[in-house]
Amino acid sequence: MNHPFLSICNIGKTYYKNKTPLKEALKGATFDIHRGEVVGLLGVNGAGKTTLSSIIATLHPPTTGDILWEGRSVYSCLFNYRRQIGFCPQHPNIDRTLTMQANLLFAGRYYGLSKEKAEERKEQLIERFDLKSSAASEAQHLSGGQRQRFLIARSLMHEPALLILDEPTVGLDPHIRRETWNILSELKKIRISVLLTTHYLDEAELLSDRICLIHEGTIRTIDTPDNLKTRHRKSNLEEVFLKFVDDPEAEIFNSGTSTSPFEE
Amino acid sequence: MKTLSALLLQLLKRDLSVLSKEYASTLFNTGLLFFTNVVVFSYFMGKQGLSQKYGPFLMIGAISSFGLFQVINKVSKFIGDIEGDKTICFLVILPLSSTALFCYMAVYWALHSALFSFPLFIFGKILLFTRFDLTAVSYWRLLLIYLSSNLFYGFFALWLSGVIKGLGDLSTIFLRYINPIFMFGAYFYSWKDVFALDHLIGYLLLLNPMVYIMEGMRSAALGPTPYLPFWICPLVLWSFIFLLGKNGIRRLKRRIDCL
Repeated sequence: MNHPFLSICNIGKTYYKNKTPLKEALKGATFDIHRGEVVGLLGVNGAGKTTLSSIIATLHPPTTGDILWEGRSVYSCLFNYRRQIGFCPQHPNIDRTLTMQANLLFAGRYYGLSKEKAEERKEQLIERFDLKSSAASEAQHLSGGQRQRFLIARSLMHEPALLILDEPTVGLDPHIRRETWNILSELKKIRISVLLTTHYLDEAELLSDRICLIHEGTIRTIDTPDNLKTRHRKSNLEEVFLKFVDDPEAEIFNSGTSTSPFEE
Repeated sequence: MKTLSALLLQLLKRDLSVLSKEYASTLFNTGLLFFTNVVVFSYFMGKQGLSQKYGPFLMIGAISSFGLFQVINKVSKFIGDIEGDKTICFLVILPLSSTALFCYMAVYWALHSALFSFPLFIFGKILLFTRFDLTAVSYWRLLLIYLSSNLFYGFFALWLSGVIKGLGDLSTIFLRYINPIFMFGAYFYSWKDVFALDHLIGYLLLLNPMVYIMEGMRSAALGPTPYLPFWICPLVLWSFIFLLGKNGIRRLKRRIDCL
């Protein structure tokens, strides 16, 4: 039997304070990510996007549900799964005490790359992300855009099969945003799966094979950008999203999970 | 196991590369603090009736307690990271368990304290010269209690990081934990002095792990006679290390909400 690359199965997350439920951030999130597929996660602030991507990155444990990696619970093979994922969080959690290139080198070495391989990979990524001028600088001397590009580069150091990007282009200049899009498109070509959380609808429409709309911790719908536009008779994703924001509980968004074009 | 040790080695390399940048300056500051303490208590306070033996007594106390004052520094950096940069969120998704990561942090903090306090033995000998008799030193015992005490400080810092609510609580650490532990930790006196004064207070002081550090270090470095039996000291310290580690890791996992 062919399993999807990743199956998010009924993931729930409840935050507690003194054993009393404080907030139900996710309610039974369920969808698949296929190899080489880019899934865009869209929702307003507080919808549960970051919580969901953090759980998939194994930063936080879910309260309920499971994540299956090629049919097997990631929690039963946690370290192997972690070697397959790269996580670029919303917050630039860079080691300020090291230079950018040292940060990249150590990131590679943590994941078991040899010294030579880590060095080679570092050079490739510095070149690809145009970080040459800042490679020898420490994090505090970098602009927000440089830090953001560096974070994406770091998450790619160990050549992961799944890249989880939480608002990766926030604060980037338009031309660097476009360059980042090109890089993400290249990743698709080499069958790297991407979970992309973003507020930029043009970005989501351009890069995503499927869009997942999330509201108050519930995945309302997941479909290709074209299907969403056709179904809602809109010319672009932004209009679909605005309709979703206006009335997220509308029946039309209650379509559950669609078939992925990447399904084998 | 091989991949885990390779990863831990890389974490150590990273930490040591950061430490190497600040080592000389911090060691100078540490040395200066040590110098003022030892010189004042060994040479100046003689006129107040302090015996010549008090110099080495206090010198060993100063070396032993160095790690305790470093705890605040470590906790503040770690809490600052949890509340600010969040580099810990990058580390907890590396292919190793969070328990292994937190244990590594505590052990590194122990090594960090040891790397600064070890040169103080040499510095102390230079300052006190003949007053500090090296023939009384039991080196194996000293090594054992020195490692145990630094590990205790590492795991104590880990536990405190799980206990305090935020950076605003740092003064609480000092007032509620560090200062009482230090003042009732047999730094200025030996445990037997207090026991002779009042048996009940003596027994109560045995709840303080610092007493075992001071007594164990002095017993190993100055000769065993007026101190607690040596072997009790590492034994009790390892019990504290185990309890603080277990509880601290559980609290930190909850605080960071990691797997």
